[in-house]
Amino acid sequence: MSATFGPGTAKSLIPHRYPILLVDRVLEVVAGHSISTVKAVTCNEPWYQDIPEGAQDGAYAYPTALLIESWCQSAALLAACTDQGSAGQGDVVLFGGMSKVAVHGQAYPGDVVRHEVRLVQQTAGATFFEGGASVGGEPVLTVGQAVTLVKPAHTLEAAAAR
Amino acid sequence: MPTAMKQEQLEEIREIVAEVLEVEPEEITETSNFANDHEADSLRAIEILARLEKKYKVEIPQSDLPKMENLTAVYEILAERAGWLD
Repeated sequence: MSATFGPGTAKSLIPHRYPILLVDRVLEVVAGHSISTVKAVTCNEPWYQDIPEGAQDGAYAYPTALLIESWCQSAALLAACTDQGSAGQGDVVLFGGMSKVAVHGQAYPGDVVRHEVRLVQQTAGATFFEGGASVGGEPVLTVGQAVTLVKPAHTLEAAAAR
Repeated sequence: MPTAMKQEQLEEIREIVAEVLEVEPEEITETSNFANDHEADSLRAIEILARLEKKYKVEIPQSDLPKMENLTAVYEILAERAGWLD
């Protein structure tokens, strides 16, 4: 399967919503293998509203935590398109962890961030990803490993009740 | 199986476990408990399982996870799945 789709389809696959849905378009997805997505940065984003008057352009660097979140949402979309990594009836997909993450640069309003996520391995209810993000072909982020887990929702409800 | 080979495989596994748990290989003895002695959580355990599956090209069922609590147990599970046992 290879497809291009926008926010409407993305919202049917992952639970993220405004203002924290951070993937604008999926360029290509190959289930069980890889996904390419884009996130356009604009100065309309909520995170910029408190930047003081007179701040320099550099103050508008897109928050790195959100850049990583955006990449992870791309991974979640890939998992959702992949049988074993998607949430079935009564399942929840959890972020497990990530390691070997390196930030190489920043994105600014007007930039289009391109994410690449590859599915490395699936085992024991876990899905392993790797990849990175770039702006205009220049890397801004590399992710050595990210892990998501599929858990039955009732196990989480039990934990929350404790 | 010759003992030298077992020793070599044990060392390889020790390296993998140490890397996942972010400790020095010599800290991991054959019986030190991953969870109690090296602060491993369930995610780390799954990472160890995944690395071993990849390296030795075997499938380890999720039901083996709770048993993988120290180096000896991991070696035995792997030996069984990879057919290292005579």
